Amino acid sequence: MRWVVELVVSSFILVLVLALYSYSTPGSLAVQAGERGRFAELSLFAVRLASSPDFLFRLLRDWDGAVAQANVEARSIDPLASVEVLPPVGGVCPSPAAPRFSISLATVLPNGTAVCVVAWA
Amino acid sequence: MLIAFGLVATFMLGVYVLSYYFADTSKQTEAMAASKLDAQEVLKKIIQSPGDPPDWTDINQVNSLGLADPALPGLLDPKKVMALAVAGGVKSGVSCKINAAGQDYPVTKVGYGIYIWGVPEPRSVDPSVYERILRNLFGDDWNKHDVELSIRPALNIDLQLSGSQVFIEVDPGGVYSYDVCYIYWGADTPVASEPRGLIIRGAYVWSETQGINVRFNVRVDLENTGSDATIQSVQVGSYTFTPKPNEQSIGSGCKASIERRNVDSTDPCLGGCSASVTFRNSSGVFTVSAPVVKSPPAQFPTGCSGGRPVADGPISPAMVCTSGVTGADGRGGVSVPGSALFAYAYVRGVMLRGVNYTYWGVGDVSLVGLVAHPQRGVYVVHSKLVQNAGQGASLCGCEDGGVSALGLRYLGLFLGGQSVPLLENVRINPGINFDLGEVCDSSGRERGGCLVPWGMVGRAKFLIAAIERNSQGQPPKCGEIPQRDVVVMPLAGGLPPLYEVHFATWRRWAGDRPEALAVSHASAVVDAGEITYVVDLWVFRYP
Repeated sequence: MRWVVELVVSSFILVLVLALYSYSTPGSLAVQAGERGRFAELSLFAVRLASSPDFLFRLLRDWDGAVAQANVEARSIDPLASVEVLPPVGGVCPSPAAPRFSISLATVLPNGTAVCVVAWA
Repeated sequence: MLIAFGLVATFMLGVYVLSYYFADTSKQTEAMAASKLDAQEVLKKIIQSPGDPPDWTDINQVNSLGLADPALPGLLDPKKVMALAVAGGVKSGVSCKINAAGQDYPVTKVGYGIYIWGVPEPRSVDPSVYERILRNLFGDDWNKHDVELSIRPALNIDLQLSGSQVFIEVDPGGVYSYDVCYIYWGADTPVASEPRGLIIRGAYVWSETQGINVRFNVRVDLENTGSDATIQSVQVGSYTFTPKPNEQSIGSGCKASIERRNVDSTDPCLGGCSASVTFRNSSGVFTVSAPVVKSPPAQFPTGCSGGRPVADGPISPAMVCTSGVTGADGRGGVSVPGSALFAYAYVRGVMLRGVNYTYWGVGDVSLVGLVAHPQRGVYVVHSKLVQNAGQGASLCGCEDGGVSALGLRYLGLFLGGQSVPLLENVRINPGINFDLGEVCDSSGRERGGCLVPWGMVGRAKFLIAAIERNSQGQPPKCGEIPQRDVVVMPLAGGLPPLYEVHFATWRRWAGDRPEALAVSHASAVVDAGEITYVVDLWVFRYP
């Protein structure tokens, strides 16, 4: 009976070691690096959007339409990307909780109103 | 005791073996992760630096690959993107010749009515270029890497000409602003095929949201090319109405729009539909119809021209530019006051933008040939003088010998983006010797062909020739040669490529995409001129 217990304990330790290896292996590094790349692309998109006269003028004319169009175009960068334009809260741009990453940039509309362009995925 | 010892030994052995296994896979995944970062860094370098030399336009000159415009930081240089497209491969053309002053000169047909001077050698990339590019990106490890670059327009813009309408469709769908320039034969020109009377120049259905309600609007744009007309009824899809008294009369030569807002909460035009207008004039009662565009209407100037001119002799086509907005599905339309020949659209979203163009009627043999000479300019040559390279006098691209020369009634040259014709009343006659030094002008003097120098073209995007064939010309033997024709030559330096460009350094040693230890990918969105491109880069890492 004792050898059965030893076998079970040894197997458990072996499985634990395997799991620890899998967890610490740099496989996740590749994913992280990939995410960093997607984040760089989405950040660049947010910067371009916040400085696009077409977007800022359209926001003045048709807020919902401009945001909807920004979402259409953001999805050509990342299919899971979303864009929102929000007012600053206490002088600070809000950063929504996002499953992967988010970026919030302050910009000024042609009428002088400060807004935050928020992109997340 | 022995069992316990055996178990411990097995466990240690297992850990020992597995550590080797994991070390190996770790190395691979580390390489993959590093190469993922490589792709980002390499892409950043390629799109943000102009390369070396900074003004390169030939891939074989390149020491360091960079696509940025040295004069406009943050933008790609359209000439470099075009040079990369050329390095990626240009489809071969048909070898032909033109005859000038009794001598034959080789030309190559590369599209409908467009030729390039001489017979170009297929552009091959010097293998040392790949090494220089990779060495600059990866240093001494250059031989363990390859890169593959794909550059494609972010917006897919489809343009279609349908009689008196230009249809635009943008993918991905969304609300885009557009500027459209088009060339058309007006209703007053002899080539207009439409009967005199009321003509629907545009019919639109579009929706507007008021709170939670959606309401539909309709509009019909009309032009009267006949005698004074009285409208009796208008139908747009399932919605029929009688115009108000002040809308019913449209005088001769006048244009008018009839619009109804908030007609219904349901779409009067589910699926495809058409609009029809019933009117009465001095000749009787008629009903005309046209397809409906489901988007907000484009601009339509209304008013009267003070009577239409008499259609006598060659009257030139006109170029007009207008603006509009697509519907939420990315579709839009522009009504043309005549028969559309050519359209060019510039489309803008909030960040992405793009262009496209199209022209009417594509057959095998055009009425004239536009031959681009790298140093001098573009020759406008009668098609009779552009012949197959072999024996016989057949037209280029046509095996049917003994084709008669076709008389031309009108030949006008336009530059893309300008509403004023470059030259009108250009006369070319294949019976007269073609002198390569003769510059085209509007004097009406006849010659076999003439030259539009590059200085005259400037930075235009297109050279457009609009031609009407003399009705007395003998019928051709080479299929359908049109009665009226348009030949469009895209000009180098005007537009970057409208198609996907591929460049891969693995072509130095492999025919297809190779197997690699790690392949990583990065992408970015960048502008080049009026076009936004999505640039994808793959980095291949070998053991």
